[in-house]
Amino acid sequence: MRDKVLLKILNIEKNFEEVRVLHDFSMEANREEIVCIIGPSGCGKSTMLNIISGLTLPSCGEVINNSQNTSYVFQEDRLLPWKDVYENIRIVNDKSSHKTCMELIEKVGLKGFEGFFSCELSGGMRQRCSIARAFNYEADLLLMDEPFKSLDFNLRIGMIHYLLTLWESKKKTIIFVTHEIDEALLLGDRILFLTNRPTKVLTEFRIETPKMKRSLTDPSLVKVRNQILDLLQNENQPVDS
Amino acid sequence: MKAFITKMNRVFKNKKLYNRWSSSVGIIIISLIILLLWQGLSSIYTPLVLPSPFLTAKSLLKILQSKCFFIELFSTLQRLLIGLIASILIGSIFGIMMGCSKKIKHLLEPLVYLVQATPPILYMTLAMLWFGLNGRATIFIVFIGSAPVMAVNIAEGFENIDVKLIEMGKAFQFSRTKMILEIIIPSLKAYFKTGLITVFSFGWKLVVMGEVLSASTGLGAQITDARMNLETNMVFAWGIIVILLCFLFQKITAKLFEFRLKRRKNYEG
Repeated sequence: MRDKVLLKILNIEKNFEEVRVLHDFSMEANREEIVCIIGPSGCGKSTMLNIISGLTLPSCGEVINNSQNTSYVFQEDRLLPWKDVYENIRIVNDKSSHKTCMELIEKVGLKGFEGFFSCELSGGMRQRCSIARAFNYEADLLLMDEPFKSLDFNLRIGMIHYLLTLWESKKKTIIFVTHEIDEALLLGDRILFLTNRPTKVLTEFRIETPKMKRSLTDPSLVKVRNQILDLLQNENQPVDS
Repeated sequence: MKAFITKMNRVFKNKKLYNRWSSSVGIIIISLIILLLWQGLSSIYTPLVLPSPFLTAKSLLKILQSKCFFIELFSTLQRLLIGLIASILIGSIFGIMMGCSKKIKHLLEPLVYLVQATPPILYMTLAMLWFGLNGRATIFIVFIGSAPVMAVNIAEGFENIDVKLIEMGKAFQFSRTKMILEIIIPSLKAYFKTGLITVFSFGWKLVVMGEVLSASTGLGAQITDARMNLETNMVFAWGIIVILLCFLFQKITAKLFEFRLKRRKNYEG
């Protein structure tokens, strides 16, 4: 019997020398769920992802990860400059077949660019390649750290479409960290709103509309959006001293 | 004439062609100026001080026609290659050790810089005392002059490996071998290449210097011979050969290690 919960984080704490980045932080994610995390910059979101993936060790606390491996889409594309699109996607999984790789390339709209090197691609194409790479890796859990940060609005909407297409074909649990409310609204089953110092989940929003049918003008999404905006405004109010 | 004009028109429209054309024009103008100055000065001084271009050209032709030219060239190249291969091997090993461990780096760095800072002529003097007046002193100087350059270049390459790519490899659980083959070695490639090119042109100069001072065969030794016989024209002629060969050598190495991304075309089927 498979556990419904894929990832559980319990009371993590992380200090970088004197600076306390995370303190007593907990969250969990179910299988095949997309959890979006919105929070102010510098609140330790990237650190948290690094802890989940095992790149960084927490100072204390516990991470229960039922996925054997963890895939990662970084803020930058982090493609190997000396490998072309196809090789970059295939390299993370030696067992993957030629067919799977070509399918992934087609799904992210890079068909015809298999032989291109990352320096010959646009920023959006590079990030699409990096997403395809993450999906080629055998893992139930996928971490995404503001992957569309450097892209403009139109491209972002396009990227979300590509991401959802991939997700439909290979349902992974995705932890998606972002600054953009719209991205979270279109992608998330749940949206966690974090506060700064100490970092914790302030509110959690659930969106029931099926992901492929969502539109930003949908009244239910607009409602959630307004709530988040209110929270953001309260968060950013200057503190009188 | 008409054909020439159309050709020039094409040259001026094509930027790449134009650049090549204008750079060759530059070389011709500079060569002409040097030749004129040389001719002018040589008419003032005796051939012992400054032989005329014509006399030099005649000596050059004589050298190129003689059989011994290739024998001398061969012995110089032999020394150069032995010295270079040794320096590339040892230098790379040192560089890799320095790159892999900070402790080893702190230990070896002063040594490498000390070797690099010592003027080659000092090594030459010592080598002549240690190895005597034969080819070995020359090989030694090529080696000792080039090895630190190689080591420093490789160590620098390690410093500049993109940490983010390493992190990517870790996130996707690359094995140790995969990490080395797919990320570390390709990252070092450019530094290795720069090292090679520097070492090749530096080594060429060192081999000639070594031979001038210590050998009885090779191109450098011929320069010494000519000097002893007070044949300034031959010194000039050998000098020209050495310069041209050095130039050629640099061009060949740069071409040989040209780093190009090769595109695979057929991913279908």
